[in-house]
Amino acid sequence: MTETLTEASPLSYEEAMARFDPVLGLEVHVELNTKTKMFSSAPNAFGDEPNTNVNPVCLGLPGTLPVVNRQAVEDAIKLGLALNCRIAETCRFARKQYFYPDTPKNWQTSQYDEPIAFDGHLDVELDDGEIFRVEIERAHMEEDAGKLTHAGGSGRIQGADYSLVDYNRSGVPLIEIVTKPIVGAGERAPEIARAYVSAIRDIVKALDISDARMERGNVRCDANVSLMPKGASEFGTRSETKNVNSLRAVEHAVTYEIRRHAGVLSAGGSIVQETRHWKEDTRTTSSGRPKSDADDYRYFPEPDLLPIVTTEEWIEKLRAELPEPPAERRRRLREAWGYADAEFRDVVAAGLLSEIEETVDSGATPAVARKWWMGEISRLANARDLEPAALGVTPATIIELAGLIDAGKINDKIARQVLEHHLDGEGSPEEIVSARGLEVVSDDGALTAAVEKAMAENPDVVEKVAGGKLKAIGALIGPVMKETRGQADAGKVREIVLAKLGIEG
Amino acid sequence: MTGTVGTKPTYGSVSRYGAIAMASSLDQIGPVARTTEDAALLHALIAGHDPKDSTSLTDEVPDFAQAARRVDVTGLKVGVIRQLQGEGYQQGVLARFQEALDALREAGAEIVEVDCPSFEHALSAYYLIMPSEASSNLARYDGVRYGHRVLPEDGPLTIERVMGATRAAGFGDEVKRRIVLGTYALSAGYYDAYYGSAQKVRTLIQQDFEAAFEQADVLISPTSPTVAFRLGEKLDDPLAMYLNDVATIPANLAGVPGISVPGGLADDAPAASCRWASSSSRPPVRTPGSTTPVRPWSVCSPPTPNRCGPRSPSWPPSPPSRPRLQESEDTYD
Amino acid sequence: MSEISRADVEHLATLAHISMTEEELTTMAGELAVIVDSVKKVSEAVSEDVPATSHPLPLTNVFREDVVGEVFTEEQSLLNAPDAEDGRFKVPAILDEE
Repeated sequence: MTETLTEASPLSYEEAMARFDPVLGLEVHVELNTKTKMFSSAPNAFGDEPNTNVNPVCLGLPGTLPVVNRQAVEDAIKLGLALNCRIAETCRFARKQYFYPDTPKNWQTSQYDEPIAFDGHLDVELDDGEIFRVEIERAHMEEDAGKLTHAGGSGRIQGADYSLVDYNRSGVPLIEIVTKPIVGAGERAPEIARAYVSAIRDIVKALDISDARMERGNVRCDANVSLMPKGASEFGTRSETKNVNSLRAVEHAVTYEIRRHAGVLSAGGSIVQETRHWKEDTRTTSSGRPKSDADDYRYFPEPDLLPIVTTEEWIEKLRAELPEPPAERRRRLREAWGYADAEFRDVVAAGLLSEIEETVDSGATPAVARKWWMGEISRLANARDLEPAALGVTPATIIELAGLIDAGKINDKIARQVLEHHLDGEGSPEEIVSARGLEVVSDDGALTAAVEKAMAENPDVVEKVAGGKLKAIGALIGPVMKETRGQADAGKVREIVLAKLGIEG
Repeated sequence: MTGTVGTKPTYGSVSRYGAIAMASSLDQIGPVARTTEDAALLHALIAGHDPKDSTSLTDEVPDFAQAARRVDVTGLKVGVIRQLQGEGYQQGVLARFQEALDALREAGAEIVEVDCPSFEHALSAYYLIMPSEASSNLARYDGVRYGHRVLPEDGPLTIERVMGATRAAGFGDEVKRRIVLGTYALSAGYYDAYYGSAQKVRTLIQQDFEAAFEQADVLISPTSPTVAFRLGEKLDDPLAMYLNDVATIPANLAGVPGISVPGGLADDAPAASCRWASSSSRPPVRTPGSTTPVRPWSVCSPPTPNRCGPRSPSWPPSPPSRPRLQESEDTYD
Repeated sequence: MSEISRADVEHLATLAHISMTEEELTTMAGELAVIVDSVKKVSEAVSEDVPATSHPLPLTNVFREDVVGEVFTEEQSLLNAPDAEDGRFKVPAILDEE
C-alpha cells in the first residue's frame, strides 16, 4: 500500500486553469500606527533597541493586566466602516491560547466569535479597470507578538541552535481582515489577490490608521488557496501561505500555490491542509506544519477585559471622520491630473496613487510626479526588489530634481543618476550635483568647443544639416555628450550648431 | 476555618493589578484580620479605582470602619439561604450558626428564609470556571522571561521540552490538576458543555441573589459546611476538598461582597458564618452603588457572636496545644 | 465509564506544556474522572435561552487614552531573564514555526 501522494511537479498556470477553479481566502493583518500598544501604554514604535519599548504588561509579568487603547478601537471601527462592514453593537476580546516564546502570556488577546466588524465588502479595481467585489467576513482587533531571531544553523528556524526574543513588537495593535471565500476569480485570482491587498493598503493609508509599509510588516497577508475541478462547487483542501509581505509576492504566491495544487491533484494526489512559507528567492512555497490537535486554541472570553459597546452616536461620529472612499478618490484624481486612461490605470495598477498624490500636493506637476514614480523610482525599486514607496524617495526630492532640470542645470539622464546617488545616501540632489560636478555644461565656451570638435569629426553630418536636414543634428549630440560626459543640454547643442551654420532655428 | 475575619469585597472594589492571577473573573483581594474593624480599616486602605485594572470600580470608597462600628441592626432583614444549610453540614457548624441567628434576632434583626435554587450548581460551575481561567493565567510561567527554568533530564533541548520540564517542576499537584482540568474544559468540543454552561449557571446564580436581595437586606450562611480538616487529610480526594467551598462560591461567582466572621467552635475547631450583601443597591439594575459594600459590615458588629475573641491571649490557636477557646462576651468597640 | 482517559490527560498535559510521568498521568486521569463526573452536571442545569455571564461586573467600554507611559530599559527588561544575549531573551531551539 503506498502512501497518498502529496507532492508532484507544479503544472503550468495555463494547464492548471484549464482543469481547475481556484478559491481564495485572504487574511490581512494591519499594524495600527497608534502611539501606544493595544493593551498597555508602552510605545508602538519600530526600529528601536530590543526590549526597550516594553513595560510589565508587554512582558506578561505576573500581576499585570491589560487596558484597551481607545484609539485602536476607533481605528478598527473606522476600518470596518470603510470596508462596508456592520459594526457589532457589543463585542469582546478572547484569549487564543498557544505556547510560543514570542507570545509573553502564552495566549494572544484577540477576538473570536464576536469581532468588532463583520459582513462587509470591498470593490477592487483590476488592472484593466474592471471591478471585482471581495466579500469581507470580519475584521477583528488583536495584538502582535514579539520578534524572534534564530541563531546558529542557517539563521532560519530549522536547524537553529537557539533563538532570541525581542518583545518590542509584543502588544502592537493589529486588525485582522478576513475575506469570505473568493470564488469565481478564475485565472485572475492572483491579480485579484494583489489588487485586494493593495486596496486594503490604500484604505488604511487613507484612514491614517497604519503606516502601511509592507516591507516593515505593517500590512501582512496570509493567502489561503484551494482548487476545485472546473465546474465543481465543493471546495478543495486549502493551504495557507503565511506572511506574504509584498504586493508582488501575494500575486506570485497565489500563482505558485495554484500551480502546485494543480500538480498534486492532477497526479492523483491530495493536498495536505497545512501552513506554508513563502520563499521570495525561488518564488515558491515550502511546507510549514500540518494542522493538528496542537491547534486547539482553547478560546474563551478574556476575563480581564470588559465588553465594548458601540453606540450609534459613536459610530456616526467616526463615520463623519472617514476620508473619501478610494473609488471616488480615483475618479477625482483622474480628472484633476488629466492623465490618459491607460496612464492612470498603470498608476493604479502600480499602487502609486498615494505617492503621486502626495508629490502633486507638495507642488510637483502631475506629469512630473507620474514620470518619476512610474519611471525611474519604479525601475530602481524593481532592481532593488522593493516596493517603490519603500525606497524612501520624498516629494521634496522629486521636486528638487524637477527644479534642477527645469533650470537647465541637469538633464533627464543626469537626474536619474542623481536620484540613484541620493538613494545611496549621498545627500540632496543639489548637494550631489555640486559635489559630483554634474551640472550641465552650459557655459558656452566648453560646450562650443565640444560642438566644434564634433562638427570637425563629422563633416558628413554637418553637410546634411547645412543642406536643411535639421534632424541630422541628433547625430552630433551623441559625440558632444560623450565629450562632456553627458552633461550637455541637448537643446543648447542644437542652438550652437545652427548658429555656427547660420541657420535660423 | 481559621478563626479570623475574612473579607471578600465586591468584585472590582480592590484593584487586582499586582496580584498574581488565578481566575480573573473571580479573583478579589480582601483583608484577613483579627477583628472586623481591623479588616474594615484595611479594606478602606486598599479599595478604590485603579486605571490599570479594567475591572476596577470607579465608585467612591465608603467608610467601612464606620459601618463596622455600627451596632444597631434593628429592623434589618437577614436572609438565611435555604440551600446553604442542612445536609452535608457538620452538626457543630449548624449549632454555631443557629446561635449567630439567635444573637441577631435578639439584637432586633428580622430573620427570613430565602430560596436560591441555582446555588446547587454553583460548585460545579466554579470548578469549571476557576480551573479554566487558572490554566490560562498560569500559562505565562514558562521559564522564558522570568522565573525558574528547568532543563529536561534527557532528550533534545527544545523550547517545548524546556517549558514542559519547567512547568512540571514549578507547579504543585493541585495546581497541575487545575491546569489540566481547565485545559480540558476549554478544549474544542467541550467548551459549550463545560465552560459555556458554567457561565450560564453564573447568570442563574446572579438572578437568585437579585431575588434574594428583594426579600432581605443581607444574606447569611455558614462559611463552610465543616470545620478545617487536618493537614494532608484530603490530598487524595480533591473533590471532598472542593466541597468545602460550597457556601462561599455562589457569592464569588456573582461578585457579591461578603465577610466571614468567627462564630465559636465546633469539634474544637473554629466555625464561622458569612454575611453577604448585594453588590448593587438596586437589583436588578446592577449599577454598583457606592454604599453597598457597607452592608455586610453593619451586621458584623457586636450583636453577632464573635466568640473566637481576638483578645484571647493564646491567639491564634495552634494544635497540638490548642486551647479550649472560651465563649466570651468580648466585643470590639 | 470514565470521562477522562489516560490518553486524554496526556494530550491535555501536552497542550498545557507540563511534562508528566506515566504514574502522574494515570493518577491524574483517575482524579479528573471523578471531578469531571461531578461538575459535568452543569450542562443539564441550564437551558439554551439562559444568557452566559462571563463577568460579575456589568461595566463596558473601559478604555485607556493613547498616551505613552513609562517603559523599561533593556537592563530592566532582562533583569529576571533565565538567559539573555544581545539585549534579547535567549531560548532553546524552537522545533517548528507557528
